[in-house]
Amino acid sequence: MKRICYNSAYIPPEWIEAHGFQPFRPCNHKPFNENRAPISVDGCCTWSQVYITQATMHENVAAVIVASICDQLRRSSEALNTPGRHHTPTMLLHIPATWQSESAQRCYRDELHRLGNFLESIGGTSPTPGRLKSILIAYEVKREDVRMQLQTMTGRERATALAAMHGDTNGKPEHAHRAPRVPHFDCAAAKCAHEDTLCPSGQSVAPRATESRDSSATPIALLGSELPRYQWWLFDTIKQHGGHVALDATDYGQRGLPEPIDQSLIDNDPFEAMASAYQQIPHIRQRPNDRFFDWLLNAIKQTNVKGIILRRSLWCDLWHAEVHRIKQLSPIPVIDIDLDVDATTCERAEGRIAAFLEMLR
Amino acid sequence: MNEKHNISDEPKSITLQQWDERYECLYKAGMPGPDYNGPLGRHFEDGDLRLASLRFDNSPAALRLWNLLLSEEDRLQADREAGRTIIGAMKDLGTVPVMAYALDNVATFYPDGAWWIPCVMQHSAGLLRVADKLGIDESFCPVRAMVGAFETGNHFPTPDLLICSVGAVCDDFSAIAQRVEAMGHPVLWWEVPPRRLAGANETSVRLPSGFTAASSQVDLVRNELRRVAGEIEKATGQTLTGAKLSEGIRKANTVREKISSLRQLVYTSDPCPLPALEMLIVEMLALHYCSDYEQTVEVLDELLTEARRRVDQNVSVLDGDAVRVFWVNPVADLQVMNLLEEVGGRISGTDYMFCHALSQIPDDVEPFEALARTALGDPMVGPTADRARMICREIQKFGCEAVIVSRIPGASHCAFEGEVIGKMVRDGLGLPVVEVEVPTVIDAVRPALRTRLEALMETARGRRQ
Repeated sequence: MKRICYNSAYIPPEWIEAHGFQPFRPCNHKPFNENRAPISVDGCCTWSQVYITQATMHENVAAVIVASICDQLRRSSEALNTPGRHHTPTMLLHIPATWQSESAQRCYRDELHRLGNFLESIGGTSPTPGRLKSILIAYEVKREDVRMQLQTMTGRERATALAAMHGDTNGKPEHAHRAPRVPHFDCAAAKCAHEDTLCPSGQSVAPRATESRDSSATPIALLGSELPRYQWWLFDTIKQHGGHVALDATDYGQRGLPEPIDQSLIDNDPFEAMASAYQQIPHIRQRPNDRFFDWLLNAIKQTNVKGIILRRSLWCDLWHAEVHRIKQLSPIPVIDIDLDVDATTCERAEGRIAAFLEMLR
Repeated sequence: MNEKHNISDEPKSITLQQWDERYECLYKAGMPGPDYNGPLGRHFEDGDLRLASLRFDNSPAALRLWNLLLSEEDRLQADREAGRTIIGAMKDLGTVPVMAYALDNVATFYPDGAWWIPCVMQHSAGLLRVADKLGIDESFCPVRAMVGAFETGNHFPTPDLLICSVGAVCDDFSAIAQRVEAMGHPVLWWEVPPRRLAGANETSVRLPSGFTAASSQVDLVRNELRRVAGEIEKATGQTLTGAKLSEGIRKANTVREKISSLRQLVYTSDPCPLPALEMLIVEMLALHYCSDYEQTVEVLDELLTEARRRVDQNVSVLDGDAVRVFWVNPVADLQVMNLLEEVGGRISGTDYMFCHALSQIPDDVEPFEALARTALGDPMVGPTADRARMICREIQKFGCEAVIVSRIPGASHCAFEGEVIGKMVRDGLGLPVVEVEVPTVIDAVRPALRTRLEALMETARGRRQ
């Protein structure tokens, strides 16, 4: 089955699968400067460069979808549309920044329909309500599996399971990453993924044990935009200094999961059930972004985390501008870590995390 | 009247002190003028320190233009005291004010305009320091001064209604406006999607700025504007009927027509009848009429008269062989427009990021539809390649010889756009292009900036042979 590469939690993988494609939301395996990309996106932020360039390099990709979750991604998607530079079909999907008005809700649904038309135009099949319904239910079961185990997983296990759910198994069979229905995750996935512990400089972040749950470790929340796989060494750094990620509030983490889909609505109107669940995902980019703060404060309370590590990409204005407010509103200490792909930043981040966790003990 | 008040003097570029001396003479000679007119030096005394580093056109029309601009703060304060509804529009640049000024007793302005305060007051207002303290540091574009302005409350009255367009806008602005809201200033957000062409089964709409969009996008923006209108109605206690909005559009088109005439005259005439700095301010008047529609119309009329007189008499403040430059993006320090002319350039075409505010709003369709089409024509909400193609068309129309892309420090969109625009101009038109970054006060980088501009002028002149 051909894959559709996409970049945002607002794009329901069910919708892609219902059109006969395999959804694939890459967790960006390597930093931009380690690749010889077929396309360059000069002038845009590193994160969007990584997504755009790597989306064009994956095998068996029928199309690349770029959700306009920030202006850098919107602009970098233009590189894909430059004639002669890239041959895989591309679509810029607008995710409205507003969410309270009828217009915004209609806009989101219209964009999903447009995505459906696009998928059909490249060979996809038009989904029947029955097919969409069965796919929604199957995904809901998968998500429920993950939800049930969120509190017992290590940060790396959780990230691996969530990535697998988005179709990114890092080249391994999917079953290696699937979360089992038992309280104690067997770490198979984590072991598979441990080769991804290289720090961006290419140095190993050893000596470092595979992360596992330690009841004496300090529970912390990891907050920010997508945490690419090449920055998963953060989980190990946190573990090494006596903490563990009890709440993954990155875009790729728990925060990016839709709330359980309304079962009765699935029966009556599966498309609406899907759209209304996904549009409610809280994000820092929404205007207003109160919903994001409500989610965060509630999650802090529920998970009993003792501190927040805010990991943000250099250049990301949307997160940068909110650091001050997050610190103001958070009832627990917050540390702001800006990361790019260079080693110096990596070392500085490790030092800051170590000091932060020491302070929390 | 011209001879009586000695305004038929040869056009000159003069300093602030020279203007004050000249004002004294004109005043004693009985020069008429509105109540906000006066010596520019008084604005310097009030803290607009950058004025002392600028050079101005010496016409009374230019004096009135400057006074209209620099008295806006007082005007808004007077509006507040008079009980008028004050609306703060953010980011859309030229759309919301058309609706607001269709109603009575409303004043509308752009708090974004605070981005020029650090320049005009030479950082003496401390707005950027305030923004720093609130976590909006120098990695953001100078519009972060708006955060400082809201925090201090010193530069404009707090609007009764604050409206901001989001969606296809730069992250800097969206993030900063969100911070403003979090500081206790509720914002009405409205959505502008990234402009795209119609798909296979969609209809297409031609926009006033020359671009094309899917009709569903125009529908979305039209509905959003109706929603905004509803909130304006609540804030003002008035109904924005179709007839009133049509009248608001007619008023906007009057201003746009005058600015268009001025641009055509000034950017194509040799020698150039009006300087770059004054023309930058002229173009800005399209956005919200500097909070005074009637005065804006009168100021534009005076400038048109003066420009036509100079063209007829073949006189100018600039050399006849100045290099015809197309300028992309607004400058954070106004002095750069003087600098361009000092090194032998002149402005012959511009894209200051609000070209959609200069185009005529259609008057042959339903008024909200007309406004939606105009808003979607914003060059910044579409693909950069669209904007670059439009710039190329304008360059050809105005016969420009060189292009300057000025980057706004910290503005996330500039780096990518600069690459695309520069490449299209070089490859498509074969013209020399330089990119320069203009900080809020250029003093520290002036020599380097001057060198780059001189090199561009030299290159452009060399190509004439």
